[in-house]
Amino acid sequence: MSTRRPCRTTAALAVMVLGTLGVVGSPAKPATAHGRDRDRDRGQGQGQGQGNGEPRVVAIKRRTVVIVRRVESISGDVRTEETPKQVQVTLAADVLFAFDRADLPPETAARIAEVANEIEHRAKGPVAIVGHTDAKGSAAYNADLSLRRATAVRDALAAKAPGHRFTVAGKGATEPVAPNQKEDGSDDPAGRARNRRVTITYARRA
Amino acid sequence: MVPLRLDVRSVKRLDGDTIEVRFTITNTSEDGPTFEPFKSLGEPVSPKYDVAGVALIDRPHDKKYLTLVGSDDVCLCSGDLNALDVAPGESASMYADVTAPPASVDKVDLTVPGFDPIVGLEIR
Repeated sequence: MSTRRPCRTTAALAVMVLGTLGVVGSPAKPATAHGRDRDRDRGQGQGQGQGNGEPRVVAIKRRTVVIVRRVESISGDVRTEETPKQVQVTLAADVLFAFDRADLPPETAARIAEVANEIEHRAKGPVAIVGHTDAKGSAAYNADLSLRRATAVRDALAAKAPGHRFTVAGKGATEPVAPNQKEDGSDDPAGRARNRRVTITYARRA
Repeated sequence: MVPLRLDVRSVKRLDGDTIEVRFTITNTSEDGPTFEPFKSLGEPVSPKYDVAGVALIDRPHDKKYLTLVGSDDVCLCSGDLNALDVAPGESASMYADVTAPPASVDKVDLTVPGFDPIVGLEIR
């Protein structure tokens, strides 16, 4: 099996992935793969090497996608995801707000200032701020809490980036990014923590 | 528990935005179990059969650079790990494209799920 790297068709916008079936292996001593059975099913035909560690093309899969670049703080409480056209910053609600609260304590000022600075220098058009909760509590309560938290972030950002237009929304628990429960049905505290968040999304300046 | 060794082959800046990490995982047991990575190298939350859990850490700037993903939510990295067995004494070579730190950053730590971080790798 051989690894095939994506070949970018443009600088950052599109990729073609070649040979993604069985993508790992050692040239000197190929790893054994269940995929070998699939290879046999597909035959030993055109484009394949003749063994002795020679790379073989076993399948070609192509996809064209927009690349998303992701950076977190080491603690994971701030995550930035960027495409060529858009930036989304996700702030973990646990570092912004106390339990069941929607007021920003003073110690969050540095984080807010950092985001506001990015908005000032990079944002084009309106900035969308959306609050999210985990799945504990009623839908109505979560919708209200998430909206109040998004509004608090909006107010703090608007004070530092007054030239921008902001929109706010509260989605409650309707758009989770991680499971609230484990596969066995038990509570998943780590997943719920990831779901408690505020996102800030804006278009990038050219 | 399968004894494994992680060897970093390269940490290379492809362009201003992307770092390519190439590494090899070797099953160091002589006649022990086969290593079947499945989802063990994926992201901690909702792992897939890939090595999306690879990351570069820039501690002085409090940044963790994650693997690139496409808008189809597929990592730009080695995948299909559900089809891989690494027998005793054998190795598997893998890659991951990771968001690049600024050009001023020339050393990073590498984290691969299940392994101790490798500290102070030079970006070439």
